[in-house]
Amino acid sequence: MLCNIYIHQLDQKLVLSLRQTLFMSGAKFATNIRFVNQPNNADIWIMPQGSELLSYAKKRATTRYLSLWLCDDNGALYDVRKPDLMLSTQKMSQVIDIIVLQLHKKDDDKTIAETVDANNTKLVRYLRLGFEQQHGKLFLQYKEAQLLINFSELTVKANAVCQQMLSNKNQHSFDFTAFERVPAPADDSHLTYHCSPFAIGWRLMHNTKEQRLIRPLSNDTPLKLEQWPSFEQVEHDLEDYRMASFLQKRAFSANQIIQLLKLPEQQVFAFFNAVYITGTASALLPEDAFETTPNQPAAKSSNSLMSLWRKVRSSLATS
Amino acid sequence: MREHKIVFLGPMGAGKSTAIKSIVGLDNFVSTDVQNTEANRDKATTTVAMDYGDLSLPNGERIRLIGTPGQERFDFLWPSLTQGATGAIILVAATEEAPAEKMLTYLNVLKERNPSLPILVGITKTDVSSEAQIQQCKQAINNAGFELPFVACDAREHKSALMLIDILMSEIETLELLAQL
Repeated sequence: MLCNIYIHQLDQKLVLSLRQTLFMSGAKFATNIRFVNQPNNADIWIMPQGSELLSYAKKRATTRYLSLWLCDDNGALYDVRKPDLMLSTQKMSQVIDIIVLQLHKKDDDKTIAETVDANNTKLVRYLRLGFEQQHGKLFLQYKEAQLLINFSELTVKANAVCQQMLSNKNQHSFDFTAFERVPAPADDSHLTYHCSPFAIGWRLMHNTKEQRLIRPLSNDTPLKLEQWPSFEQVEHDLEDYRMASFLQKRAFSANQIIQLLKLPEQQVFAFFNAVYITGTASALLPEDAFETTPNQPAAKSSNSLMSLWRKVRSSLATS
Repeated sequence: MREHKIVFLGPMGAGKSTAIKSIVGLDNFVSTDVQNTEANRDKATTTVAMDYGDLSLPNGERIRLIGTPGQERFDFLWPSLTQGATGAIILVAATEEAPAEKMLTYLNVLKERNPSLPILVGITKTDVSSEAQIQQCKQAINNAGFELPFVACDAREHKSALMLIDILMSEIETLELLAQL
């Protein structure tokens, strides 16, 4: 993972100190840190409190829904979206964790959800990295919904608003890409809902409005399960078992699974997104996919054991 | 008439009989339980020959669920009971001493006899164990190189027991289809 950092007009001594801290943070999260001279396309901005930049930052932050935090020479933080700039100050614990600015502008930005990023690749990266490394914390916010994922302890806490959004089964009720990363609150006692990280990843991907594969996945990206998903923690059905069984044995792309198992595209995409983001599956190169041909026999034939079991099962389930 | 034999294996007290009973119901279940005489086990009855559950499929075929006795002194029955099986379900209680080792013992025996047999590993009695213990078992199976489903289940619950067959059917389907590719 590459992270571009732009540091604007800070004291040279502070710059050196920040670079050292950032490099250490980068190493900790296996991130390649690169310092860039131009703010465009930077993942993280670090800047002093100054009228010119502040004015620019405020303008951007009020017209678009941006994660923009400023730090001063003492390490205090300012959320520029607040009318009173002295709100929300707190000491930095890890610089890399708290100053995030999304700079890629889209011409058709109209809604809050769209302005973050049509596919929020950063959020996918954060989640995936956390699950992979099982280290660190991630605090996300979308309007009133708050979510704290502790990858080190494999715990998740959320507030009531977030819980309601996540438990709204199959309603595709929220835009997961609109979540942004913000500094974790010092007091998280208001986050009363607890669940597992796998369940959060699963629900984010199954209840979201997104009905396509998240980047960097494409229809031809093969996935291979690293382990059997913790289905007991989430809502699921027989088709999820079938997909898991296939992907545990061999690497297949979404297109291949759609063809082989004759499943709806949307269900396959949700499954792929969920197992990828939770680190349950690894993405491989297209050439690593198990070879199939366009005329491959599909799994659903009326006299297969699975088909027969489906018929018996429906009567057993109600008995 | 074609029959599909699904064998349940695992140590005594893992919930094999209970799972079969939960799946097929009392009317289709035959037990060989007797009073348990093993002093170190807190269990009133135990299986001494095999448990048997039966399901009819719409085309006349049958699914036979066979529960093997869990005591080690009945190990000699495993080969005959697993002979010709369509699939196998290994159940081990999380409360068992060294549950991961027990799972691996059964897995190794089954894979040695029939490497292509679809297998599912289930861990039961998870309500009295920690999530960390369950994950350790899952990890042990992964580390041993077994690519198969590992699920936590409650053998007493109909839905949870049905899940075992659902997943095993997926495994059977997958292995059959992969063999054709």
